[in-house]
Amino acid sequence: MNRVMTGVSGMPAASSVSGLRVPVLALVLLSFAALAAAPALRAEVDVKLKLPQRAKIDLRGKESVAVAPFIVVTREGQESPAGRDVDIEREFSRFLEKLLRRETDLRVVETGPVELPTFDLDDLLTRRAFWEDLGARAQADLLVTGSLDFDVQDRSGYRTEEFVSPLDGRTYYRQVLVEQTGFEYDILLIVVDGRSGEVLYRDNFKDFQNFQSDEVDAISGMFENLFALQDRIVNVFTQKEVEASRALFTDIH
Amino acid sequence: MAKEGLWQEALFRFERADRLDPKNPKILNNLAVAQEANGQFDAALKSYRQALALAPGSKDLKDNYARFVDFYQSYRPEGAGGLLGLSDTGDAGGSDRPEGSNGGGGASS
Repeated sequence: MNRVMTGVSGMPAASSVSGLRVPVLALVLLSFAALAAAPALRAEVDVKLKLPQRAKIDLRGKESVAVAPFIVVTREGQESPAGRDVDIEREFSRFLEKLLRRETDLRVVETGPVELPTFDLDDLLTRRAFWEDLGARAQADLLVTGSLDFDVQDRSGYRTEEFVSPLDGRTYYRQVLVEQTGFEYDILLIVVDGRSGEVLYRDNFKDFQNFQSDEVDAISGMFENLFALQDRIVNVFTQKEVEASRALFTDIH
Repeated sequence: MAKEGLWQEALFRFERADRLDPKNPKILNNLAVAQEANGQFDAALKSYRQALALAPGSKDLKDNYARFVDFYQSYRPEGAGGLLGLSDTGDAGGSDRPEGSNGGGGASS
């Protein structure tokens, strides 16, 4: 098909055949027209299928899940989004619990108050007795934990803009202030077996959203990130459908 | 019909066409796609392989099969180890299960 398109776009080269007699030129043009019509005669057609995408973790024998505390990462020298009245951990836990209730068949149970023995995630994940104890206490087959890194970035700055003067009609360039706010969310999601304390799955989910204003508040930006990531998060726990394309032959002889 | 998403009806018709002309790789390809759309992945694998054995040079067929393998490996990783590559398509008509499959997963509808 690409070849056909190239042939059509190559038509301006007709000047090279300008010396030919009119009937020959007409024949050449007719050949191009026939080539351009070729896609309509394609012997196959693309169709879309909905195919299942299996949950990322093996859910056999797993009926309940609890959202354990997440560790919030704060970058050195950075203004904490918590200072903007956002409790990142609480918002994420609530979001995740709602998502699990709505989109999966798992029973979501509460852990109650949890005191983490350490805030070093790598160290925490090695403490299988802690997770076993938490799983038994919450009666949860699966425990979800990890780390959250949410960042609000002031990306305002001056940009060069072209404008036409109404006075003399000439084009000039000027510097304009563009106010932009960026929201970046980096989630490390870890699923732990509530019976054995073993880490079953870990994955990193990242999203960045940019808004052309400085008036978008942190919580709105955070949820824009989360809505963008929710399908991928859900797919850890449940089967999803994805669209795939295949070719079908229309001329089967 | 398939384009409109009426996959059960399409499957029925491609099966009938296959019975009438069982060595036609294009019908086998269409049958495989309809089987995929209806969740009959083991049967689709068999049909794709039969089609490729009959028309090993068909680009559309190879593309379809490669996409199917790509999907099927992520869908059923424990049983799809032997699906890699297009070079193993010569065993058309063999087992309707992927090589190394343990039969788990319940892919078929």
